[in-house]
Amino acid sequence: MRIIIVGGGEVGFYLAQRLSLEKHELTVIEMDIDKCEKIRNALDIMVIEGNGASQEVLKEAGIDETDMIIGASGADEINIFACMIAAKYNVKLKAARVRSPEYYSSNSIFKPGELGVDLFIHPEEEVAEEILRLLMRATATEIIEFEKGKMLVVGIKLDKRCPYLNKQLKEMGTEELRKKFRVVAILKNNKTIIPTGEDYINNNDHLFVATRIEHLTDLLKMTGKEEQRLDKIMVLGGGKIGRSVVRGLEKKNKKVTLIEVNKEKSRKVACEFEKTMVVQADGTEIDLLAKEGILEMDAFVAVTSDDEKNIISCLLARHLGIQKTISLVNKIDYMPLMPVIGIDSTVNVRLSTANAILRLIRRGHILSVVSFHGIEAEGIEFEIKEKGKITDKPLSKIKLPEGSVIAFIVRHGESFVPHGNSVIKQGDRVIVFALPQAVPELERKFS
Amino acid sequence: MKATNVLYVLTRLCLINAACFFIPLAFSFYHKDGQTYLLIFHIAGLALLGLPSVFLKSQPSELSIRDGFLTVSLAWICLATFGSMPFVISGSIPSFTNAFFETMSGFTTTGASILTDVEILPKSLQIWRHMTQWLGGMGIIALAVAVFPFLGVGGVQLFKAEVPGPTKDKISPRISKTAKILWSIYLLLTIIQVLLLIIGGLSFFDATCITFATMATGGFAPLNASVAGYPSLYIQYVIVIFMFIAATNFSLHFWALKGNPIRYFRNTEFLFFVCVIICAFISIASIRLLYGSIFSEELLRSSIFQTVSIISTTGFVTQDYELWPFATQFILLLLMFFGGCAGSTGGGIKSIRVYVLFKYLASEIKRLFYPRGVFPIKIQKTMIPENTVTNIIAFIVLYLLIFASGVFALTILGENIDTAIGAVASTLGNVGPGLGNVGPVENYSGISVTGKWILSFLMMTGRLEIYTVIVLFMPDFWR
Repeated sequence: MRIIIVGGGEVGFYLAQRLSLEKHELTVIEMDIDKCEKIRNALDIMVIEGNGASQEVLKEAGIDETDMIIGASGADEINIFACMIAAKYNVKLKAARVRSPEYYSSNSIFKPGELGVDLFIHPEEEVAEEILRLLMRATATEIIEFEKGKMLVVGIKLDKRCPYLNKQLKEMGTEELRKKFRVVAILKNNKTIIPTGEDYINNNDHLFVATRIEHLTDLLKMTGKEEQRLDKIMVLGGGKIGRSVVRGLEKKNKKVTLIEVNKEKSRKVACEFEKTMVVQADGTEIDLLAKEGILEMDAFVAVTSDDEKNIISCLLARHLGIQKTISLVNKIDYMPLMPVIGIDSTVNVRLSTANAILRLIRRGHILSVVSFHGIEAEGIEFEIKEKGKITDKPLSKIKLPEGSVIAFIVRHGESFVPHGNSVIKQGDRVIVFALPQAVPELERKFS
Repeated sequence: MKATNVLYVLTRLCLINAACFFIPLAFSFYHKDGQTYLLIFHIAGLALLGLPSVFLKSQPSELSIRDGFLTVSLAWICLATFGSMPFVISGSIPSFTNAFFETMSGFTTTGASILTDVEILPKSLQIWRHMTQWLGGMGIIALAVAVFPFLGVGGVQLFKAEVPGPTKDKISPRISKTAKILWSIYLLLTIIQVLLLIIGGLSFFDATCITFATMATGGFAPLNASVAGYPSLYIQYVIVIFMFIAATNFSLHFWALKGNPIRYFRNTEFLFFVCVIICAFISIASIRLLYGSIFSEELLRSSIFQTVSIISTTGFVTQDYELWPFATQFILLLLMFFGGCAGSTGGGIKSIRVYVLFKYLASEIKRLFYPRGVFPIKIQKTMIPENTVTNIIAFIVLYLLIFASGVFALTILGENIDTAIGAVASTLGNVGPGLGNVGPVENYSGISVTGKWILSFLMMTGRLEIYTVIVLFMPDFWR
């Protein structure tokens, strides 16, 4: 597929990196000369210097032969305009990252489709939703829902309490239990592996497990975790994301304390929320936070626009004994560091945005896709339209590309976690976890 | 720097090299020239060297920029070494120095020869001699990148280190596809020229040899008299046209084939290149007339032939230009430095760099009387970034420095000054014939052994556009 990405900032770069690994032909349009040079040296893609909203530049990028355009620059208007031009050239898929909701809200003067955008991506909303999901299931470092929330892939960080350390995966749990879950990826010393039964699990491994929602408790018990309920939550940062998170938490009747450093802003936020306690303070002042009761909190969420502040305040919170900390980290370069220094969960605006866009690309025979923070694997959904080499055979007999594993099978609306004797049938949908390198071969096998 | 990465690419190249030898093998079989077994053994040997890369499961991780430079330089040395083996073993060129010089001259598309009589070479080795040029023209690394797309970003580094020109335009997002397109165009043009030459009455063998040397702007000829041995008007003009095509940026051919030939006339470098050719042709022809030559079609033809042959760095000869007035010889010497367009198979400094240099000089002079004036250097209406300009200036200075050192070295070895100047300008620019004792009707067999190694080095340095080779001599590179 030929894809044009407008904007070579962090979102654009991350997308380009992901997509070029999967053998798509990419062209990035970027205004800044230095960034152009950086991308040119790092990736095997075409880079054009110029404004993505210019017809000339888009023509030079070969818009007339392009299948997809992604507006990923920091400016809403450029992203939308690039999509509008692309629409004139009959580009099939058009996605735009748009911060300001007024362009696509219900009372916008533009009807859907008039702007030529198939998918609006609202970065802050995506992140806020992710934070809420993490707070609802606190033992998991990460939760991705499938099939309207019936099936989950959860991230669990192993510690000494896990009874199966230094054992092979196939020895985990009882026969009965093993049918209920499937480990789809392990993050070991910052390397993502797609495991087989032979792989060992060790302390500090980060498991990603596919399971049904009702078996989550069993799974947690097995890994030595207890389910915790988080009732008192402290949120640092009253920006868009922070307010969005607080709104969601209020709906679930949690006790929320919001900290905002700016006086004006804190007043405004205080007016907006009835039940939430708003404190005007800096997130790194321990004494102040202690006075405001940080010690009694169950969770701490840092979502200011300053990465370093978020990280430091989460570390402080952790130091004060708070169980669950979630930090917004926008620099992708920092991500691998987070589990090492002891921050439970990280969220990233750019990654969430990129995930939303990746999902759109997979439309076609591939239905949806998700990526996780900090690991390279992604989940992809395939529809099995015809009988073929992979159908009507026990899974253990099917040769999947190296670095891929089947997480769920969905048959007639019912989904289950497969085991070695399960069979794929015509008309099923399967959700596969795979490293990016394995994706092209998977696409060939499954469609 | 990772030795395994470098080795991996090198062994892969051995495989490509082995595959290439099947063509001489076919010719040997057909002409029964007695080299068949030798070639089979050679192919087997190369394949054996290349085998590890097939079974090696771990593919090279990212090639760094430094890996790229080192790999490409080593690759060219290996190619010339392995490529010269058949000459040595068969006894056609018994001395290794001579065989290496001849093969390096082939791969770098120089066309400087140590053979006094090329016509006695076995047919298979003769076709191999021309094939080295053809392979080196578009670049064997580029071929590897096209054939083995696994190189990924590493491929970009390799490609950059081999393809000529200050800016490397991709014509397709993926480097492997870019390389594939370039090689396809190259192959297509080669086939067209072979057909045109056969129509002109050449044998298939001669047509192939001449075409390989023309498309690569190489300059080896299957006859001792070079192209002067084909007095046909038609053939000489076909060669002129294809030398010109080969010295033009191949991405322009790509756009023309895609139905956009207008790009030729929007391309600053191309227009400048054409201007220089016309000016040089008119000056040479008129100086010759001024010095008493009689006006004839022959005079015009030999003037344009020699102009295009030298500026495209091919080095074919239809007339002994050393018998022409000195002023014309000086013009030809200047053209040796000038070279073809970026992204072509031509050598030399490259038209675009000279253009930028002139523009830069003009802007510096204008700044003297308009101190606050802004004089950006533009190509196709876009400004060239300042660091690209300084890079180009540095390139030209380095080129001239290497030229001067080369001439000094040769004169120390006892060559006379015009031979030294001609030989160094010609090998560094990958042209072929020089002046003095290495002039158009002489050859390089008279140069001393040390001299031949120096010139071989200069050919490689010139073909890989200096930086790729020179960086290896920087102590910092090896840190």
